[in-house]
Amino acid sequence: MKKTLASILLILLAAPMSRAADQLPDSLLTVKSPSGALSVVKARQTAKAGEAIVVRGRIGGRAMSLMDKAAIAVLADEKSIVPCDANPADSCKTPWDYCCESPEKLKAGTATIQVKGENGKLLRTSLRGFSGLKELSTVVVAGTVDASSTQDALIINVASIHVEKQ
Amino acid sequence: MLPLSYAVRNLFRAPARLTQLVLGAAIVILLLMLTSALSKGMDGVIKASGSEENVIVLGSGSEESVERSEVAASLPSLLAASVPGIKTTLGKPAVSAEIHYNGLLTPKSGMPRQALIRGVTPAALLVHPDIRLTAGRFPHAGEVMVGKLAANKLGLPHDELAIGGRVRIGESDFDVVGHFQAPGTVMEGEVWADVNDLRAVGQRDTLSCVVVRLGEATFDDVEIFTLQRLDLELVAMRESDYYQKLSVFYRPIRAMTWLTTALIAVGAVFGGFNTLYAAFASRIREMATLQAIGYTRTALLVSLVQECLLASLLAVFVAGVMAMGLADGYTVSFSIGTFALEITSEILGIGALGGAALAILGALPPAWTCLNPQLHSALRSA
Repeated sequence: MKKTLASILLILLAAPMSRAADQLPDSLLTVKSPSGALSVVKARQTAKAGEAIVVRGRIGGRAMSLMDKAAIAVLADEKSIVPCDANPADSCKTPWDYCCESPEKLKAGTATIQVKGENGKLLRTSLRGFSGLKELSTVVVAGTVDASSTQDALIINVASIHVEKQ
Repeated sequence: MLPLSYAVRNLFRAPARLTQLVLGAAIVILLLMLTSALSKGMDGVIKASGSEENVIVLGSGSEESVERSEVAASLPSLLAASVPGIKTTLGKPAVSAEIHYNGLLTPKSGMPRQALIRGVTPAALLVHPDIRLTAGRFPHAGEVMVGKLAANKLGLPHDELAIGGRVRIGESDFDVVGHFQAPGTVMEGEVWADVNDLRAVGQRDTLSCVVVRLGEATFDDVEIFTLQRLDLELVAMRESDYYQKLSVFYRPIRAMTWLTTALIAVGAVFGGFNTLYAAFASRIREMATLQAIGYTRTALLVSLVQECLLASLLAVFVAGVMAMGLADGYTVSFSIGTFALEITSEILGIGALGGAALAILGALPPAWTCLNPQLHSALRSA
């Protein structure tokens, strides 16, 4: 009995020590689509670290495009690459991985979007379900180009997301 | 109830028939044991090969075969620098650059054999703690070390891969400088060489994968890295998930072995029916007499089943001896590795249960036919 009580007490004490999921800021959602959005391909050509940027694209580009434990996702260009379900004969179960596209086109047509907290660290919560966000959702994101971003790997720190109704 | 001695005495009444029954059942039980051992061995090797603490980072689209994967040679240092919390040992991050090469290895005397060769650096020992050097040392350039089961996998006598020997991989010769063990894992069937040597052999400037051992870092941290570096076209998988995925590939083979066993068992049951129908049919009057002096049909049924169970117990013994003698320790090679069959007490238990099921299934219908006739007509039967 004493052992059981001690175990329960230990669990209760330990519970607050385990990492709680972060909250996405309320300011993240924008109802009105930001103007002057670039395509992913265009953004990759012109983006410079630290600059403000607005990009439009679809969630997708790899099988795991939307992480469940971190506010990070892959954004695919709307025009230069097409998801598998755009091909009528295709029966791909994961059309958001764009597996019917060549690796080269895929590489050139994708970017990373992520939401960081005030401490500058990536928020440990998923973007999935945020205003209905899921794979192949069309979004317009506004934010700044991450310092570690390169021309080959565009990373955008998102300040606001507009999710287009499908 | 009839005494057990009655069943035992009846069992040895017709030695030829008993031998036929026991050998027939023994073959099925042996097959059942071997299939169970094969399935268990395959599961075991796949489970043991993939550590929950390791994350394997490979090329996107190569999730089902690390041999086909290509990642940048700079990836190990990038991972070590970008993912905080990777396990470190004496200041060295547990990040192993690896090339998995499925190619031809030519022993000193003999034909080239298909071998699993892994190009590694000493950091491999930090992510694969199961590796134990049993003789010699870790290989440098121009050298290899071989796993305990590598010779079996290659179908070579062990002295062909003895320390001091030479093997040829591609166009290059390598000295065997070490032997290692990694109990129950696919690594035991591999040959390990220096990663740069394998890069030259494979004429590539890339790696197959990088294996990272998690310390304070989580799997998500590595996955985040792969999402932030889309240019590297990477995918992160838990090592355990990778091997689990590979095991799906072997399901049809396993299903086939079980199906074969089941078909042979069905055949044996029908063979048993045949023998037992004949055996019990000649004892209808004997059974009726026993009923007339007061034994119930249930007691007689139990006695007949006892006879079959005793015969199957003999069959289990014979099959067990054969399995221990012929199969225990026998090495089985499949495309991703090699493992030794183990006839454990669990496998023997499965055989015993199978034998019991075979006896009961085989005995009930003939016993029913034997005990079903009315007493007055059964007493008059020939």
